[in-house]
Amino acid sequence: MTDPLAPLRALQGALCARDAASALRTDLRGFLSRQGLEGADLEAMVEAGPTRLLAYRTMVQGRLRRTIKAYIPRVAHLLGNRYAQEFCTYMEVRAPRTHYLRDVPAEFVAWARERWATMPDLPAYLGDLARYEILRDEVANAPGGGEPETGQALALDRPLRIDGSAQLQKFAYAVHEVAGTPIDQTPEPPARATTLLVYRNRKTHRVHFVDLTPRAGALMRRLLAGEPVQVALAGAASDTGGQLNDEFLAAMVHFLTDLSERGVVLGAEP
Amino acid sequence: MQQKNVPTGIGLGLRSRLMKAIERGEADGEIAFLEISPENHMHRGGSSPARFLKLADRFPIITHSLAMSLGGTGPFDAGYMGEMKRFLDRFGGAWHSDHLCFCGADGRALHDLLPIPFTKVCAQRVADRIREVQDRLGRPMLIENISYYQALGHSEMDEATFVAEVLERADCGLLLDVNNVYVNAKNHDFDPYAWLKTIPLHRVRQLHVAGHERWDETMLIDTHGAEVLPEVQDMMSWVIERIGPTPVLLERDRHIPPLAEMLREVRALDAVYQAAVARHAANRAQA
Ligand SMILES: [Fe+2]
Repeated sequence: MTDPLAPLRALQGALCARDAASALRTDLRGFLSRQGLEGADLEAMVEAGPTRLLAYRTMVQGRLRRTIKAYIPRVAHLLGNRYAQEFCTYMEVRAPRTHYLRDVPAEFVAWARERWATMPDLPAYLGDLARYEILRDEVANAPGGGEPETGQALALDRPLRIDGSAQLQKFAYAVHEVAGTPIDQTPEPPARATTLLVYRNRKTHRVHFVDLTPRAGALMRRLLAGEPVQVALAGAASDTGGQLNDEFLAAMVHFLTDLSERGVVLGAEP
Repeated sequence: MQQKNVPTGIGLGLRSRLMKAIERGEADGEIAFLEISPENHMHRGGSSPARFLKLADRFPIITHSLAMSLGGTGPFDAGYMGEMKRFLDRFGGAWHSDHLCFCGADGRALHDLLPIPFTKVCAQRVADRIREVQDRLGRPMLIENISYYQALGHSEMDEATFVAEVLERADCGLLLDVNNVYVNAKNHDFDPYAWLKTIPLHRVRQLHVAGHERWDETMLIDTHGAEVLPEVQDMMSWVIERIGPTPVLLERDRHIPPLAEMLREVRALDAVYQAAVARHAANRAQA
């Protein structure tokens, strides 16, 4: 008995395989056989011909390619024709997994960032820039955020509650500095280690980016991981080769006060 | 086939292009319901769910998802189904619907409505999966007939027989998209009314009507990107005359005009719908 799911996999192959656009035209039977189709299913699809399969491929790939491009316009522009090739490879080796169309670009970027890092002919900052480009929408739509304030003042022995939309992103390049330039004139971002805190304002829902100093970044990473304030402070000082002295404490208290005013820090966890 | 707590008449899909005007109250009293895709609102924070919450207070909501992959391979995604159940428990109505299709195999999600083979084995498989979804969501499901551009693999039966087979095996309702029937009839050269006479009309709980566009000289595609053709309105009438008051969604996903223009289309469609409802009532009185 033939596999009842083989036709589904064969169609998926026609939609995703890199070589399908030409293989469907030149060797439909061979292509569908390689996808596992046999018997009456194979004969029916060979008889139907490649036209509608190609139409499906154009529709499915076009929609996903346009969706991703809309989220990473700078990177797509920098890649030029290569964007379509990268997308094609993505469809073959990975393809979207999420049920939410709006999360497809982030899946693509997660895949591409690793790959582009190994490609010396691409700008070294490309992966960082792609990650930065999708951040605003990712945080705007993040499921968390808007949690109630705890009503408890900062206590050294307890963790802080932090708004669920907040996340830290580390980059090797100051990619945020190229935001605002015309898409087709994106300058090369400075090669400078950068940590951005990104969060969504609780009332306006606007997304904000805060460029953190290394020690504020280290502290924030530990607080987001749920460390009590004192542990996080000591850890941040040692992470950045500094001392837990008055100057350090004053700077960090100032930083946390600012985050409270922004509605990112919501008080000590009870 | 009227049910309690079910809006009847012409409704619109909630699209971001129409949202501001709807929020301003411009659709108040003009539409019977809003149809929404839970995927656009669930598993999401920020302004979008906040805005939806306000609209859900003002309009009856009908839920219709896109990504369940009822005909797919492999188990349903537990996270997605859990989010869906929470969403429907809060906003859902008498049923939830998705499409009689697959959206990807082996974990892939291709975000399109892809055909499944018209075979007995496939009908049983998808019916089992629909029953599973009904259990997991704790509410009845409707399945929507899709536009298909090619039958997948060897067909043991025609599409209408397949749809009827799935409905009976799953014991579920039908979200009848008459534009999809029309598009398929043109693309595959069959009589759309023969199709309508093959399916169990008593299982129809909701209708979709829409416009479509041309892909090439041999094929129409279901883009929901144009006004509804008179032939498609006639099919809606034919069905409503036989089943009575039902929620009917006017779908528009591309080339969305301003709300005022959409509402003119709603009113024109409503006139056709009301005439069909009146004929239904008259037929019943005679019987
Ligand atoms: Fe539809």
